[in-house]
Amino acid sequence: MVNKDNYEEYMLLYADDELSEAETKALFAFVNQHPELRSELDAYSATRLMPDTDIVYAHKEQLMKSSGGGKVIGLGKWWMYAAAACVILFAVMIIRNNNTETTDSTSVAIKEEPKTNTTPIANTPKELHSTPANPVVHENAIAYSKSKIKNQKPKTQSPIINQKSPTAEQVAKVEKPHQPEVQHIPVQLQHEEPAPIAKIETQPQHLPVIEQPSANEAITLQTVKEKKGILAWLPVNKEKTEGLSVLAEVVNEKIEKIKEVKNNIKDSEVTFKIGNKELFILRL
Amino acid sequence: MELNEYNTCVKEWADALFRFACKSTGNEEDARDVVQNSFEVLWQKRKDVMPAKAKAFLFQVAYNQSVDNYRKRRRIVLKEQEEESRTTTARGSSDLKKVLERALTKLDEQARALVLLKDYEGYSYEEIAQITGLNETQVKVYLHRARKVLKDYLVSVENII
Repeated sequence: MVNKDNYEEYMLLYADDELSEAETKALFAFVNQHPELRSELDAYSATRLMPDTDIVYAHKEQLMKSSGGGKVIGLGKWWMYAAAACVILFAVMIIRNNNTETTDSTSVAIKEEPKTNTTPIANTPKELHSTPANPVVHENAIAYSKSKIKNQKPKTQSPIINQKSPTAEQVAKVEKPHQPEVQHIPVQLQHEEPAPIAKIETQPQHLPVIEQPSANEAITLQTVKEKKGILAWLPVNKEKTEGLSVLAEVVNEKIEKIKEVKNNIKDSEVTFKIGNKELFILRL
Repeated sequence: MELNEYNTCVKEWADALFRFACKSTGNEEDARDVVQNSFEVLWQKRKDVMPAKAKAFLFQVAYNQSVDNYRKRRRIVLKEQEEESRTTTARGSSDLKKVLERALTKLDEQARALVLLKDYEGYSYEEIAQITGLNETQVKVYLHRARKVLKDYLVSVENII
């Protein structure tokens, strides 16, 4: 019950709107019995605040989110990952370019070899076609062939020998471009042997033609070497280039990891903010 | 909480939260920051917050920010406002609402927030306790203490007038 000891507690609870109906009636009955407490009850009642409905948040749409909202990723970390990925990709691109140039140069060198073979073959039919194409010629040619195959070997080797002997005698500058030719040409001869018909058609007159491609080959090798990257210019051993290829493999593994990270980043959003204001959302 | 529910929360509670933050911090700019931060926190924790508890969650975040982050700043501003209120009271303002707003500045941040949660939002002692992290008895005691301060201020102003 409300009395002189607890009426203030009741008034405070009334101001807080925490009294039940019965308690409220009891309080008002007590105040009616003690009218001097009416002003105190009114004062406590006046402390109840009314919400100021004039105060409205103006830009609610800025607080709202659009559909497909994903994770909010810290901008700083995102940029760190992106920068790291860019650096690694750049390094990989350079290494890969170098590797492809070196492999291209070797492949070109290998491809140059059949050109030396094909050029005489390509030239000879033209010459044969210009001449009347009689089976007799072939028979003669076949007749020639057995004897000329043996002759051709030293003749084909002759430019090599000719090249070798001056390289040994000449300055070291001249030797370097010719050395790969010396290595490749014996391989050519092995390929030529199973196709003797091509050799049959070759005539002694075309032998200088065989020598010409070797000169062209030297030129093309020089140009290829010019095309090579920094690694080609440097005195790098094969072992070192292999080491670089190992490095490239390691970098490729890193790329795979980056791809995984990229896949993880997919379907997420990056929200760009200044303070609390959202500028735009980047969907990955 | 889904996207639609979150956006509904923005529509329903942004104004109330802004009013609460305005009165708590006494500054519209700060109040705007409080509202933005509160909704951002709600968005980040939307998976853990049930839609029915979203309002209480928002006010909890806003209360913590208003009371903790602006306590020191408000102390400086309050001293200035006290001097201002004395001069305006001396001029004689009969508007009870304005007098009551000035009376609010007499309260510390926590007491003011409790009164606002009680009167503006109609929360019970128990709900206020959940929002503020106080226990129910503390809420009741702090609120009653705040009411007495407000009542004394109103009575003193009436006497001056």
